[in-house]
Amino acid sequence: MRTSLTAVLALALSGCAGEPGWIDDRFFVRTDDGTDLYVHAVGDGTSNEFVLFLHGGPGGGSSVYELAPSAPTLHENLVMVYLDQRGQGASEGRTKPEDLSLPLLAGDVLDVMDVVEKLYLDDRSGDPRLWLMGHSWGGMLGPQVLFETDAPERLAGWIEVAGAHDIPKLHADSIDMLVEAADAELEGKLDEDTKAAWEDIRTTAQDAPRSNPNIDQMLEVNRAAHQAGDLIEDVVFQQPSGGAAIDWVLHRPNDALANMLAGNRVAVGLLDQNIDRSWSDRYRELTLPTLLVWGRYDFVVPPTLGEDVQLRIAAETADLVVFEDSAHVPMFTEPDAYAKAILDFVAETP
Amino acid sequence: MSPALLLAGLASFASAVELSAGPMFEEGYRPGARAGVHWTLLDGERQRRNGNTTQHVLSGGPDLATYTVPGVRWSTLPGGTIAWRRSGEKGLRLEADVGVSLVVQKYLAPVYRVEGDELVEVPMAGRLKWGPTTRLGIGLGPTDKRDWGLVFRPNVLWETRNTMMLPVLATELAVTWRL
Repeated sequence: MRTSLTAVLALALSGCAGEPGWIDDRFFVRTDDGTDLYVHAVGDGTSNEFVLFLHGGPGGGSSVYELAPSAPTLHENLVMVYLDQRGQGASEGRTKPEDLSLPLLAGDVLDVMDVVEKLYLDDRSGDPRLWLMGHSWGGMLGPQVLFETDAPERLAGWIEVAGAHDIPKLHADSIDMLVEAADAELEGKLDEDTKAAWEDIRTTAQDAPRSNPNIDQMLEVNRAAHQAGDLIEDVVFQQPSGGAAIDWVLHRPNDALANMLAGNRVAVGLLDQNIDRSWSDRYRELTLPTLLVWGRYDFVVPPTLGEDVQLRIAAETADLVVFEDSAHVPMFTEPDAYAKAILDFVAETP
Repeated sequence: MSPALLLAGLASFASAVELSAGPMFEEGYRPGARAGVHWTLLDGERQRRNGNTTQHVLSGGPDLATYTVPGVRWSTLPGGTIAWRRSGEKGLRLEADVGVSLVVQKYLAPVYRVEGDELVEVPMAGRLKWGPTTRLGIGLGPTDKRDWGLVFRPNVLWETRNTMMLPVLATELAVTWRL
């Protein structure tokens, strides 16, 4: 019994480790200013597809995405390169607002691309490709890399998941979507708690200015948007498997409380700096194959942002995939469809 | 001379000394250990209404802690603490410690940078920091009838990181010996 239990645990914890070509590397990238950025590269190296992932928040770090039920499928078919942006997760970095900027974080992404190319791509046979992918805040940082650096020459494509690339539009559309959803929900039969929650959400959205909000007003709407997504019955958060959860806990690189406190300071600083920033018009310059992934009930970054990009983008390939039973984190709510959309896009892009 | 030998040497010359050592778990599960020695600086007894006495001790001394975040970093924390300890006749003990530690962090994961066109691994990469420590304790201390005790100590290390003082939580189970 003990032997079999040990074997099951070992299997659960090891994933596909040990298979030829399997990559499971944790390393730091030291930037020019001496900051050490934490990176975890994991997946099947024989796929020759490497996806550099920019996490959301800002402030959270990337390790939580490894817990998503979609992650094992992605890792079995390509290599995900999870970066903790500076000052966040297990990465070092000053967290005062005056020490942070979007161009600085984009420079970090280029430094990580340099190392990833040297480690995995340059000496690899076949035709290895590097992709850039961003979720939520990663969809604000990604465009800085795409539009303000020479990175597109080195990339095979851009995958934007609920990307916050236009904060004024995000805020205004979020308010509209919240009010519309609250009105619709409150017409139905709800229990008292749910009714009160939707009424609070509607009041928050109606009271918020649609344009030129300050950071507190924007975050208030953001909180209501997260709450609204949680209230939609069709949106079901899928738990990771027990083995994946144990593996995640044992290998989590950062300290939970420290990560949360540092992340909060980074979040407020970066969001405050970029509260008026919109990359929407710049998508007319983007010729990289692009996949846009959104949740139908994403009140945090409404799917109208994805539709808007699809109308503007210069790229010939610019697919928008909207998941009908998802809010802001489709990797947790429709993991199979989410992974399939990404893998299909990578496989079908020449 | 190693820190352990130095502690042992110092302890052998003192009259009211207590050693403590045991496993420490950063975030409740990451493996580590902590050991230290405390000299009594002040002590006194207080008579309670029920006739029992409680002993109050102010003590201080150096300690050494270490823990690892597997595959990422290994931290070693030499430092010192001042502690208040209250013990009942049956040995029930309450503690509160404050201190300060150096935080010597060695990365277990490689650190890379690209210089020119070359990928370079940074040798012996890590960080040197400092941070205050706070600790509470509850357990059984040494009594007249035994020289040992067992104390559970939740720890908070305030680590200077990313231009903040960030709390790192740990739990410690210490066996104590009165010399």
